[in-house]
Amino acid sequence: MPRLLVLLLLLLLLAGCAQRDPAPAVLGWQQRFSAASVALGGWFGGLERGERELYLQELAHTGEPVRLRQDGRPTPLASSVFPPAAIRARCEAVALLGEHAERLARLAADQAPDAAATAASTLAGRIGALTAGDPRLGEYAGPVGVLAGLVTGAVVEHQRQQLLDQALHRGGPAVERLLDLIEADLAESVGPLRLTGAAQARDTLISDYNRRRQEEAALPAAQRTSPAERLRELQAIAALSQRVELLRGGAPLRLPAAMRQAYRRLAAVAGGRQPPTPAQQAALRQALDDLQAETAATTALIAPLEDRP
Amino acid sequence: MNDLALDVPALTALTMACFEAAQDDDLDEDTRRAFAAQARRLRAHLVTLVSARFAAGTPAFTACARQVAAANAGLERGRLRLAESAATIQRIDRLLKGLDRLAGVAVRFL
Repeated sequence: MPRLLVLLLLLLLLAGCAQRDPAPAVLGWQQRFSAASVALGGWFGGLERGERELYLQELAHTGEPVRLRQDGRPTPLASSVFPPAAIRARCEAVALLGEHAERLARLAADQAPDAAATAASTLAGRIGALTAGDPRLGEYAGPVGVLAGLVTGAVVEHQRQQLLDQALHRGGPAVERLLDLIEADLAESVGPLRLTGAAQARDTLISDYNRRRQEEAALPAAQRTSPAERLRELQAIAALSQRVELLRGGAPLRLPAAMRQAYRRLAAVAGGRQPPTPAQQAALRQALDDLQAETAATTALIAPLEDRP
Repeated sequence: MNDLALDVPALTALTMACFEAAQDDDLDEDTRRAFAAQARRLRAHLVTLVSARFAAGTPAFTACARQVAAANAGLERGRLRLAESAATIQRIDRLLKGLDRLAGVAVRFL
């Protein structure tokens, strides 16, 4: 057997011939993780707007004049409530998470090993044709082509695996640490602000509703607010109550927790030496479904106050 | 940072208790109004605390973000190297196609 063929067989064994098909779930992972990052960014990015809305709602409720400065400090109309650099740093960090997801998934699903295998087979066949003048070499053009394709594909696949390992080794701890920081911020800062903000907005709506009913009690029925309009006002109060309960129940923390789980499941699929098992793929799909649900819930929770039924 | 962590949960709980008392029918109107006013003042303090916490916690976010950005750059370089491996083989293949044609021409002249 020609030495070339033996060498190729050895390379095949050494490089590991387990071709990894990119799990279909990996391709959907990036989109959902990126969507989750956008929703997560909304927790921070919407803080200023939320405080301004609360301030204006309060003015509308009390009838007090608009001021740019009150009690020795600027009002939310005149100045940022939170340090812009602090908000920006958090939003940029969250955006980087989304970008990391995109690049990781792109590398994990890259078709380069298959393209390399195809190209190498074609190349080897062409070399074989060029050496067709020698009958002994010409005989091996076909099998050499197949083996060269497999080996090249395995070598490029091995490269991809090394790159994925490096990415997970370097990026994994940073991603986990960033999610830790985000969770701490949501639990100890953003969550309490959103919770008490929703409670204040609800208190204002309830007070306004009760005050109008008291004022209308002395009016003829025809001049009072219609039942349909009263129902709309009550539904707005109910929506805020629901928001308060969700926030009190720790809703802000579920999104970064779901992102962490999805990231770990992807790392298990992408970083394994063998193709993902059905159990791993199922776990990844479940993590993605959970992530999608939490993203939707978060988007609803951080919607502006005026987005009321 | 630890002092801030202790203040925020307590302040939040107190603020929420005041908002709920503000709508408690067991209390008279004046008491409810007083609780509503206190809740708003407490929340204003909470906003100040959180704002300070944000400023204090930003360096940690920035440092971590730098690491993620470095990992992202590595991912992009890796993906390009991977594509280059396949592209290199395809370039050699195109070169050999050219040699093919030349070999065919040369044979005709033999």
